[in-house]
Amino acid sequence: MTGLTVFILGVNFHEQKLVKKALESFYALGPQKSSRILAKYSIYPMMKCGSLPQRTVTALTAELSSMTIENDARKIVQDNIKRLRDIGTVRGRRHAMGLPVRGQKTRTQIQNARKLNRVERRG
Amino acid sequence: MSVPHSLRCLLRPSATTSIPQRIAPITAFTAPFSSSSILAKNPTPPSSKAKVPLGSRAKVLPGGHIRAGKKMQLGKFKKNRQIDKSRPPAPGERKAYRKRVTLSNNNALPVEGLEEMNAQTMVDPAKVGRMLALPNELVDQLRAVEAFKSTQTWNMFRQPSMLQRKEARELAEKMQTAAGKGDTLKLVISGDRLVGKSMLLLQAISYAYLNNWIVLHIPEGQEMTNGSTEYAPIPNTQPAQYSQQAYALRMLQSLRKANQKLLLDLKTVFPHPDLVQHFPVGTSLLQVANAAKEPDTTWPIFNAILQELTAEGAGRPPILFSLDGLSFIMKMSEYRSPAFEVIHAHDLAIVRRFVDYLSGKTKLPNGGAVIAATSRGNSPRNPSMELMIAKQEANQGLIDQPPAKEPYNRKYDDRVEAALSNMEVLKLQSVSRSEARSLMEYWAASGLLRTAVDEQAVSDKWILGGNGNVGEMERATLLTMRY
Amino acid sequence: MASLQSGSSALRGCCQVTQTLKRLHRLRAARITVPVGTARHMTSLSDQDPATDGMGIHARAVPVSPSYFSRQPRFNDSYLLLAQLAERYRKLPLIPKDQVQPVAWKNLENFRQAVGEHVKATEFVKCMELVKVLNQIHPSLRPKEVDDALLVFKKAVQPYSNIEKTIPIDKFGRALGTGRRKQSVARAWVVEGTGEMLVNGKTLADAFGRVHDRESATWALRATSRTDKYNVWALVEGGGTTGQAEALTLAIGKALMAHEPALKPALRRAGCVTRDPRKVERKKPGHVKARKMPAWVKR
Repeated sequence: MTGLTVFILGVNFHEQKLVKKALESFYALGPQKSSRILAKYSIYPMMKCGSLPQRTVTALTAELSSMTIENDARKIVQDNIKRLRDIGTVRGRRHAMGLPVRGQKTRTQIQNARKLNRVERRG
Repeated sequence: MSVPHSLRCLLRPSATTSIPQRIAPITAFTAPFSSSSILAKNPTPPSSKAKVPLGSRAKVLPGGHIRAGKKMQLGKFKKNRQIDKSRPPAPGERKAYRKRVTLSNNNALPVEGLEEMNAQTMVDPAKVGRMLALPNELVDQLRAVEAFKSTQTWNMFRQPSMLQRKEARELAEKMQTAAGKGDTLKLVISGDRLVGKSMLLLQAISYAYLNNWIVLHIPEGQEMTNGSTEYAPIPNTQPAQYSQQAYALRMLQSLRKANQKLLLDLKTVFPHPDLVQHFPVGTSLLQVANAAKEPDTTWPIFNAILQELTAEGAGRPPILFSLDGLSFIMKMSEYRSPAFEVIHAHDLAIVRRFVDYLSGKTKLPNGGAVIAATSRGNSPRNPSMELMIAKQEANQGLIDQPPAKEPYNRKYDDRVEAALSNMEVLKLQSVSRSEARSLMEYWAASGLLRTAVDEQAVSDKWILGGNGNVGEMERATLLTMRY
Repeated sequence: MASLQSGSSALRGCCQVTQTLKRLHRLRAARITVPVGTARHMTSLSDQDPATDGMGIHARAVPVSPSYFSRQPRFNDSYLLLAQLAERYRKLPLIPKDQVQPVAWKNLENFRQAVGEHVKATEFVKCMELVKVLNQIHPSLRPKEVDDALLVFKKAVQPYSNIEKTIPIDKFGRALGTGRRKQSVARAWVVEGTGEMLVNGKTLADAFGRVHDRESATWALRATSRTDKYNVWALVEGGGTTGQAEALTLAIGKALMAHEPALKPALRRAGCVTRDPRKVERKKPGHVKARKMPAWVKR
């Protein structure tokens, strides 16, 4: 069953998806920011993408494009890591080695660090 | 006759010649049509025991027993799970099934000699403790305003009927006097869990319909405040109020459906310049109500209708404004203002209107009633509301002493206390023995109770139902599988 | 009233035993000499025979009991005593057997354990016949020594002397019954009324969420069709819902019996009289629960 889709900031969302969850799918947009956006546009918490009026969709897209989310937010994180690396700190080195940065043990449980920590951090 | 003869030569000899039964091949299938005359004449009846699907390797042994061939089993401990290949229910289908209200049951016995409810029976003292059937027209109206609930046991009986309780008559009488004097009855129905508060509200609504009142009913207080319907700030209000257009449309639609005849007769007396569509003075209210089709345009129409209904000296009928689940509208809602502040439920315009009538801040000029029922099942604790109800009960002499305000509890709400400072409380008690008896006789007549209804049986159920709590009696009698 | 002569056959048997014992005693006394120090439980004959004192002659000790050297001295003693008493008081009037107050006598097994001797069954039966005859003596005339002699044959616990406690009905017409089940204790005040019930100040529906529990709480009243005749005010504490409900059954049943004792058989059939003795079995050391053992682990 293919439902209608709603286009917010270049991303398609299924009409049955909650607006709040749709907003939270963007990088650097969490529960706090998303509920503030909902309040700003008087979108009720249980609203689904399908029932968004077109002008609200446009307004949401405009709102989101003015925020530092997705690649802009990632870039900031990468810059910070790069700065640490450039001045030769331990934290920068740990990032480059893909190991935990904040003094955790490395004997076990470093999957997340391996996955995420690198100079050109993506997630 | 020659045709079967001549065709027979085309068949294999074994099929035509009669051979001893001992070595006759056992045919699992018979073709639905056969050209051979013998087979056509004596088709093997398909045995019910031995139906073998096409393509399976199962063999049918003599005697009809099926022996399945050896199957390859992939996992050693694979569970024999049946995969349901039917279509999953569409979005909303499960909820609709859950919320469905069934009002009749063809398996239940029809009850002979049941009186029909009408405007007189509701206030007649002689009818207290009798079962009254709801007339069909009334049922349609009640259904339109969603006064029936899926948790009530309507689906067990042939025809919806209700016990005329002592309190129901009192309430009807109060409504009668209020309407007669042009006053507003401001009432809160309180009582224990399952004691029949929603049913009493239903009876109040029935009284209103039977006496040609206008009814505005909010079936669930929580639907207004739990963040599931559209809301928008109303411009030029200070402090800001919020409209709920989708909900207003729903209310208008149910009003249109239930009070159609009445609305047709009522004519507008105000010009309403702010409506998109132009309605000259003297248009019927039904026509105005019909203009509301989209949530976006509903709000001005909703206001206009309410303005018209509460117009003074225009021969308007009394109004019943009722709500079930009071504690849900006496708290902070789930909505937030554009400044990210939580909105108090009383700032929602529809709720505000109800609360103003309940507190007596605004009056229904043509008389009527504002009735709210508390709910005890799934409702938030509301200290202020409980306090005010207890205070009022003490004033009316229902309880000895009102509870004092807890000094360290921060959950009291001044707005709630103001809203409930001026109302009357109807504390619903359990039913008497005689009322219980007529109820049980109705159950027995409907074929749901197999025992003889005598003093003993009534007493049993009355105690089992916590000294006559109707809902508990129903639970102990109708909803257990024993009887 | 019969007289003691009726038990003559028993007496004859007794006399035979007495004679044998006497003969035996004479024989032993003549032959056996016992060193003084070793025979603490025999009386030295020295006080009877001062002539032998200090002459180096072996002291001749005589046992206290003439049946000392028999196989069942204690039994024989009491048997002899009974026989003597029967002989002595044979003239006392007896009351008919059916009017005698019932007494729980020791059976053979109990008696053997009590005296620590292997008493023969036939002798015990004969002895018991004597006992019963003596017990038949009119209680106002029965001498104390008879009572004392019979005491050996009575069981320590006399169920016949138990007096059943009756539940009183107070001046308000209330009867208080108590009932227990598992860890719960219930007290129910039952009074004649219209059939209302409050448990811990709440209605039955508020006190018990489960319909089944409500049914068991009211079972005593429902089984006897008395739901509309009595009001119940009860207090329950301890345990869970099932325990509390079934403790109430018992409490109400007992209080109901105080009002109408004739209902006892009906209540017993309904199971409202006997306390259910089952309880949670205690956990034992070495076990995971009461009986469960830890899983077997290699090494």
